[in-house]
Amino acid sequence: MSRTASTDFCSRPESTPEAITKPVGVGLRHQHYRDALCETSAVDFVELHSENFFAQGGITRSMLEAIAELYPISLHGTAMGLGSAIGIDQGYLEKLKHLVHDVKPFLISDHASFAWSRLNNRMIHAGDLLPLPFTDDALKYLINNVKHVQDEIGQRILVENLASYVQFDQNSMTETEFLSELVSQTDCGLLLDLNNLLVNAHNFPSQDGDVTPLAAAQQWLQEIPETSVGEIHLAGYRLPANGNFIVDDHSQPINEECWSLYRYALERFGPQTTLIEWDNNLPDWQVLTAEAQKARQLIHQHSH
Amino acid sequence: MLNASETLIQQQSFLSRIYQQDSLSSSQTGLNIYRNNFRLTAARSLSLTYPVIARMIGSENMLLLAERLLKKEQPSTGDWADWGEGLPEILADSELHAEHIYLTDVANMEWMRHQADKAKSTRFNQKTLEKLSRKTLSDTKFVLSDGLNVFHSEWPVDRLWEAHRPEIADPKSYLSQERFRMQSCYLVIYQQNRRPQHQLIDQEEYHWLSNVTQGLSIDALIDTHPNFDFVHWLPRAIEHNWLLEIH
Repeated sequence: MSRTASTDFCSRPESTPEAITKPVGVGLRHQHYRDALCETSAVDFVELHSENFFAQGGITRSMLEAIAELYPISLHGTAMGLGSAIGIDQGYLEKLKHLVHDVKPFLISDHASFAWSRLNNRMIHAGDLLPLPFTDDALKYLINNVKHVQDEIGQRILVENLASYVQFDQNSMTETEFLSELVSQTDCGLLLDLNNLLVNAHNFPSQDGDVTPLAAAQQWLQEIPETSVGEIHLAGYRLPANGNFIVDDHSQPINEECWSLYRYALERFGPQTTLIEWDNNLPDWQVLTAEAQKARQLIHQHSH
Repeated sequence: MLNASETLIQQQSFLSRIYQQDSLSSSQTGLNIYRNNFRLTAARSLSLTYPVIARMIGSENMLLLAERLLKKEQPSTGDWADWGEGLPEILADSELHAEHIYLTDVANMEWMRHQADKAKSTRFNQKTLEKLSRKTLSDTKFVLSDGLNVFHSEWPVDRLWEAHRPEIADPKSYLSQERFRMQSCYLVIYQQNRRPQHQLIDQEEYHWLSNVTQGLSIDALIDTHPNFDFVHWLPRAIEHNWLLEIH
């Protein structure tokens, strides 16, 4: 179904022979399907939400086949619930396996969150990315589930850091220690969502009043193993009313603070596969791909 | 092991608190962000599954019905598109039912279209036609395509559905042009050319197809419906992709 999902993205015309470059893609949403089919030169790959393509047939499946003919695909899950103590529903995994078989994605990712649990003795799904405490026990479940998923689909996955709206008293380690141990134990990669780092840093400011959210996010990046990063997500958020939490709604252009953190991340980790996420209040395709072009230029500046 | 079960319990407790919509307050605590996101996602998902119902009743009513449905039917697959089968029942129990009694059937029809939309896309296996030349057809059956359903309503749900599609600017005007009449209808709902379709059928064909869905053999079908024009029906059923094979 898919073209050979080549990951040889190193031949863009603007690259010098010595340059190391990486692909830049966009999250593809329903409103942009037609644009993506008509104008293929704007992005190197597209990211699809896995669950949106679980149906076995129908017009969505046709669209998937058409897109897979034109682009390398990254499958990004929003519902796997990798940290679920109850485990991951096997029916969900079977659907994902079928999709992976058909699409042959060059990346597969989901979040460091939980989603499956029991309510009134029934296994249910939370329909959201629910946060994990940073404890040895929560880590054990996450490690077991990531190993299980990688075994099932036969491919390394990337795990994304979460935007969380609660903090747990029982945390026994930092988030970076938690994720670093996950990488060490499972050989998975990390999907660094820079916007999530900033949202968390704004919502839960450092106790030390001198540390800005940007500086806190930069420190977070310093604590992550250099070789663990497999992809970077960039996104924007709507400014909240005074005193309210920022919600990671992916509804705005990437703000300057996030671009600044991206430059910092490129300095620290070198060029990385990068994705522009925009899920709500969607702009024109040209606006979206212009954000991708901006990321590409920054990668190019850091590729020597 | 003690710690492990503590994690399990902690996650159950967190999820349970998100489901407690009755205690929702306007204060913007972290937990309320998850609660709000949950019910808004549920309402948005229902509106995608039931786009015509969403237009007929409006977004505020859709949110209200989504909240009620979440108490009876919880998402369980990780795919929001699988959730929402119980909406017709919730509608039937709602204040909207008394004034718009046909809404429940429009919702039933939309759910069936949604199932047809997601069904595996197939084509009729022509080779299996030779099975009709057997001496006896008591062990031979029609196998219908995935996602096919038949539906009977006391209301003209097909016309109501068509008039309230998002692309129709003025449903009332559309219905007046259609010489709309409140009359019952029989429908077959299926997937053709990878899109969900529905077609009006008559009562006789509705009962025939209902018996096919129940798995009656071709001999039994012919005995049950001696006047049904099976010879003319078969090519039509193949043309519309109603049949998967003859088994």
